[in-house]
Amino acid sequence: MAVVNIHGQPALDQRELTLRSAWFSGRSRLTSPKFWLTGIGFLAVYLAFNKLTEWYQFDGLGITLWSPDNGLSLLLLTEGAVFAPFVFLAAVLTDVFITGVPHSLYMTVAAELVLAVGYVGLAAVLRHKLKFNPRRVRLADVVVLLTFVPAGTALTSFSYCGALYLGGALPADQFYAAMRHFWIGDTVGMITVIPAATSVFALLSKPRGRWPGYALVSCSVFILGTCLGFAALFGVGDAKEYHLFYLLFLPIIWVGMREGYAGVAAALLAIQLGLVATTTYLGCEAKDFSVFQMLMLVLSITGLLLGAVITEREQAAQLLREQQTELARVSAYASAGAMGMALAHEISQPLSTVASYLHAARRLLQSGAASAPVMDALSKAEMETRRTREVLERIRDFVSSGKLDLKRLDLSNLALKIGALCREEATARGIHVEIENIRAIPLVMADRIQIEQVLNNLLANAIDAASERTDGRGLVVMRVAGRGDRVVVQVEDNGPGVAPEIAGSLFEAYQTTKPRGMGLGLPLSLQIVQKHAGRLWWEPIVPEGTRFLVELQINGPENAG
Amino acid sequence: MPGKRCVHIIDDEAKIRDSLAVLLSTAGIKSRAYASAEEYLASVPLSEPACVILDNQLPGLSGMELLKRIADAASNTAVIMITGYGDVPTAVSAMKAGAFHFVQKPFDAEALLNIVEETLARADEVRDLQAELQEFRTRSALLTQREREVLNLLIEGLPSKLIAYRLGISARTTEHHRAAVMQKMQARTISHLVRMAVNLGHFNGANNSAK
Repeated sequence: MAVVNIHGQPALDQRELTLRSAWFSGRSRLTSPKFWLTGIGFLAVYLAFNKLTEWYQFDGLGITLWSPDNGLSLLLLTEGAVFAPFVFLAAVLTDVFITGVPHSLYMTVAAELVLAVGYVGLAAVLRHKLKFNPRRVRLADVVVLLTFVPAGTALTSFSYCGALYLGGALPADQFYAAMRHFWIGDTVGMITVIPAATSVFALLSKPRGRWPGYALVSCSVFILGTCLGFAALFGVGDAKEYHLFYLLFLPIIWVGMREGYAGVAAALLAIQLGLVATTTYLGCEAKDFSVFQMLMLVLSITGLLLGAVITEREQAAQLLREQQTELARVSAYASAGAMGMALAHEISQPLSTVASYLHAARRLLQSGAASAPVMDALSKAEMETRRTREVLERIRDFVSSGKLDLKRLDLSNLALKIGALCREEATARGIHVEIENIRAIPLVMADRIQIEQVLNNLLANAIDAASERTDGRGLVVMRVAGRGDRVVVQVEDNGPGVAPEIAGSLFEAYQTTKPRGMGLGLPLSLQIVQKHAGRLWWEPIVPEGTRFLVELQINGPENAG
Repeated sequence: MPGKRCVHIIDDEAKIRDSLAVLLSTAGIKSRAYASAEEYLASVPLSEPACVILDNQLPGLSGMELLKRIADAASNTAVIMITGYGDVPTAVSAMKAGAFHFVQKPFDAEALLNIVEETLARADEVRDLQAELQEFRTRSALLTQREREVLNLLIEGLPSKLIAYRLGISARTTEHHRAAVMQKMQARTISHLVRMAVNLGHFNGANNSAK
């Protein structure tokens, strides 16, 4: 892609710059080396930008039709008005050394001062009045950006051109055209640079959990679509190329749907760079480019709003998921606590009784009493310990869900249902879940809730194992098949397999390799399957992966011989 | 009088009742057991002083409610409260309601036995003290108005002459009253008389009751 190669360098610098400016927010900025580094870095990138965006200057006045440099200025100023001198200095230096504007130095200084004041004001309104924060993706912020930036640049372009006009550098008949030129350039510059910075912040603050392949697909399709769009746009050979501009909405919508705000911001920047490069290469007229920029503005507004909506929705869904996980964890703890209390109450009764009998027996022996009452107290104590054991057994039965509620169960249906439940989370982790049903499986006598627990557990384990792959090719297959008077459910993953040091103790309680696991999943599953007179075992898959197998009798535990 | 020592056990668990009875019997303490608060109320009048081991979790009338009724009856019944849920609020409300001790299950048998012994000893003490107070009241009722005045001043520690001066009577008459007081109150010495009065929570109570 020629577009990216030509303009890749300044875009990178800009990323570094926004990063650096994000690092501090203290009061002692003037003494902080980061402040000066940011300012000087900004100057360098600003000048480089200007060197590269000299296209379509308005009558040599240094007014360009795309001003990412001014986008950068506004971004810096939202960090603090303290950077205003750098913004001012950068603009003056550009005028003098790069664009070489014809009017006097006084004129330049006056006009750029007006501009700097205008941007400081816009940045202050954005940051303090409207609470705009370039570091977060929120629909409200995006709306603020998309309404106040065009309005603010309209004001500044009016003041800037006004200053030039009053200084005699701009003829009255060109005032309106210069102002429009200026407005388009600044608005599109800001609306491409600031969202791009926001997405950089977002990507840096929390990396997405998705596998990289997902983004790769989004990116490839976008590039393909955009290239086709450009080919149609400029390849038709018509003078009015922008007629087919709407084709570029498709790749932007694609990226917005898949990658949200950050993706749209990057895509818009890429399209803008592509437009600039192509029109420069083809030598389009300034008037045509200005139309492109108007269309670009509409594309940006559409794309950014869509992206913000998608991202906000994703964030809400993510929050909900986290809350649900947290709730499940809390309720697990709460029920464990309640069980503990119940257990303590149940046990304290016989324990008190045993203590009383034993102490009585000791006192009787000490006082030299006959053996009959001592024996009596001791045997009563013994009986009480038996009762304690019964209490414990009852609780153990309760924990393993008590008696089996045997009914005819369709394992294929159950597998499909469990697979559907797990699929969303698995897909988010880049894992493909497949449920295979070999048809005509007989119904199995089993406890639906308990078997569901077993399959759920095995599937969750498999997904965890498969997600240890880093290549995004994680695969989990659940297969249900009949074998004579039995039905076998296989759960396969292509994860790294069972480590040899835990292979022997896989079914023992409290053995876990997961940071938040209790190590009860497999032991409980084994217990449940054994109560069904079934079998649960595992085997490694060559060359990679693990297979867990559950075998159940069609007629249930009663007919298990 | 160890033979008179008796503890009432109120617990719905038969095993607890039996094991406590066995335990108490090894210390020579008799016991009577009740499966509920209602059963206890039906067989023991609230006014009768007693020592009670009371389980908090009872079917029907709860241990805490029975404790409040016993406290309201002001019958000098000492209650040892036993609870399965040994949380602070339960302990606090039990002590506020007038429980003598608060024991948490599972309890230590020896510690519980010590508590019972202590409670019984205190109950004996209280009973002795009450008997003495009753005696004191009966005796002081025999005193005349003048003799009662003399007694009050004697307890304050005034010598006879000062008492005579205070009451505006002769020393001789004072001596006469004093001898009558000592005789009626069955006090061997002045210090014995004072101790009796102080031990029983000052003379005023008896004084008022005599009026």
